[in-house]
Amino acid sequence: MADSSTEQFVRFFVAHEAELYSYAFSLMANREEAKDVTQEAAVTMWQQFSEFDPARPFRPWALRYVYFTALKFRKQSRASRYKISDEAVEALAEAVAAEEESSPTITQRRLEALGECIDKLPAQARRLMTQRYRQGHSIQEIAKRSGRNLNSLYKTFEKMRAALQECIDAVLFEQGAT
Amino acid sequence: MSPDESNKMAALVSALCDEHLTSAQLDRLNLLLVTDRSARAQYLRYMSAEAAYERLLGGPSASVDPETFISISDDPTADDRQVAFDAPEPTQKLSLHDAWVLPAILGSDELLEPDPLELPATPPVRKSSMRRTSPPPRQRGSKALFRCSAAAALLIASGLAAWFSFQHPGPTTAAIVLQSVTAQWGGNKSFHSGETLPVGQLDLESGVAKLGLPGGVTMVVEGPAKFEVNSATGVSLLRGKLVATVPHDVHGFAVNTPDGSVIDLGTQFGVEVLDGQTHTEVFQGQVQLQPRSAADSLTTLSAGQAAELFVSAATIDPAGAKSQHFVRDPGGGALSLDIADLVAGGDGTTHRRNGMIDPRTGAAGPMPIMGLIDGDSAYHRGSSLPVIDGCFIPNGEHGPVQVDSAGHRFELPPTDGKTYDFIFSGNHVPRPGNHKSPIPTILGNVDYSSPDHWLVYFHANVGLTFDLAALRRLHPASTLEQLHAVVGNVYNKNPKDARPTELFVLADGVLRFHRRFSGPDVFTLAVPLSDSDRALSLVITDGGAGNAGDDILLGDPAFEMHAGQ
Repeated sequence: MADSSTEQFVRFFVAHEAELYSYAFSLMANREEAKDVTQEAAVTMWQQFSEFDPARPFRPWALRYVYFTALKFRKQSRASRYKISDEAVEALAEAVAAEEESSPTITQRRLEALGECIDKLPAQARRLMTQRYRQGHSIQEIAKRSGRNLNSLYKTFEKMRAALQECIDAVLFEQGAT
Repeated sequence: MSPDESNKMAALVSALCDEHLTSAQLDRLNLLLVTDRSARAQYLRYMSAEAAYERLLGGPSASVDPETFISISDDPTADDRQVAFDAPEPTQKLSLHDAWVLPAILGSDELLEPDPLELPATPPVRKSSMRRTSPPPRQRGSKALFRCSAAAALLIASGLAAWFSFQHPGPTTAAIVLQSVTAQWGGNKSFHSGETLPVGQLDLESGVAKLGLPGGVTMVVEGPAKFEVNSATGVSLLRGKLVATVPHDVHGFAVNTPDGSVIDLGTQFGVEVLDGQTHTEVFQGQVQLQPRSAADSLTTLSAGQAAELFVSAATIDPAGAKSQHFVRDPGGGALSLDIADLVAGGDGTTHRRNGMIDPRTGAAGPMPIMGLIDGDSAYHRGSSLPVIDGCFIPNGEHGPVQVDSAGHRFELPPTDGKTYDFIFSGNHVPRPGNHKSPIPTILGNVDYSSPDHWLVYFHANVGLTFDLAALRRLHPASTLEQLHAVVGNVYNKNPKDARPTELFVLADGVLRFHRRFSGPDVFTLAVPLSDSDRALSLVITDGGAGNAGDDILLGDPAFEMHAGQ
């Protein structure tokens, strides 16, 4: 059915997919474009998986494909109007590479902590997050549907994001992981 | 970075995520990212979380059976030195962005819609799905690997020559199950998402299965159905319904029935074989109908058209294609079903407009302006749209009024027993009755005639009942969550002249919402729905002051669905 190298690639890809998408999202600042980048990078990685050295870690190898695919998309002017500048993208890539050297699992651990923090959200905050992310409504749509002030809602989401970051820090601190 | 600078950075990133960043703020953000190491780190932390919210909150991306992960991570050859990605608790689901990996590999545009597999039985608001936990029970087996769609896609890709090409279809494999929604197969067979279907006749007793065929054709089969995948370019449908979606680069794909063949010309179409008859509807592109005993007599059918295919001829069905008749995509993610589309004959996702329903009969379709009409207060079963259970012109003067086809009754208030014209869905309401000016379309500050919005117009007194079971059948992998709309009377905005109107929302004859309102009032309707609700009735009555001036708009009315069954 499938050869062993493909099975191996599937294992690696599935295990790291969330992080690869996260990286693409940081570079593209747009969900759809980040999905396109991750998708194309996945196909390229699979096609070139024979070049992957199994003695080395998969994640840095895969991150490079995401980075170069993101650059390709940006050159093709497929990036959104909120395009992070080329200089900023380069600086971000360097930051991620440096983090890969110093703390290769920090992103994964922060994502794990985020899951716990979302569990702790108050009901109303969770409802807003659900409308935004599960149901896919924009802030404008939520404001319209709920009759809430748009700017106040922007501020509410800003506070929720900040609170979740603080919660992540607290969880990692408790784990002695910071 | 000081706390104040950190707060400013957080505000910039948040504005970026919510797409209200000004040009000056974007410049500032870019400058910080280039010059400030702490700002870069903060940006990456925020964006990493932002990318994960959709998945952690059960957004519209695919889910993966945790057993799949278990089987993968259990493999002794798996290398987990970089990230010890622990398997989740058995009751948890992981959601991966795999639905869009699949189409890229298969090269089929139509698959670009998210294609979640085996969604959780409960709404996927999950606990920390990536939390490290004690190891769950472990399983092995090659089939389990296929339950992950990303894995399946990549494994399929590895077998492209044997699988997704015309040259070398597998000798014992007919198709792959891309999605299975409560599918029950005959002959004690069981096929889960990611597994392959064998060559030969198959009996889907109930449920829905989305299949991938060699060459990139996808097919949604709705049970009960008997069918056989003959080759990359041919399927025999002996009984039941299927919708085939054929990529443009596949030529000559045909669905063969006892009456003849439905030959694809690059399209999406539905075929039903029932009681020895073949009914075909085209949703995109064109097909040719070829009667079995008159092979030279080809009839071309275009998008929006429907026809009956007989052994010796084909006849066009003037009613046209009704997308409510077929399951075009089992779905699985969060959906907002546009009620204007449903009233116009769509499945809630096709953005149809200008739907009309005669409240006297429940009949749907184009109809003339009727003016003031008398009701009989009797319930009239909808005749042509599966999702419309029926209609009535309510008058509670003589006792409880029947509100659905199951016979439920409700004590509605007495009315003058009359209404105007029809129920309409779309954007611009045709000028009904004796109105000399267009029906206003603005509620609050929103103009529901604009392209991004939609409306449904009612004049008191009228009741419209939806068949929720039919809605669930059309979107079997999602769950009805609530009815949502903005409601108001647009006839008279002057409070001094305001006339009362009443809105009742009933589920199986039980009151779920009631409001008495008048001209200037605009309110949001949000009625939660439960899995046991079968019929949902919207009833507008005249508030005891006669039906004049009771022009009610529902702005952006929608049935909201969440992922999972």
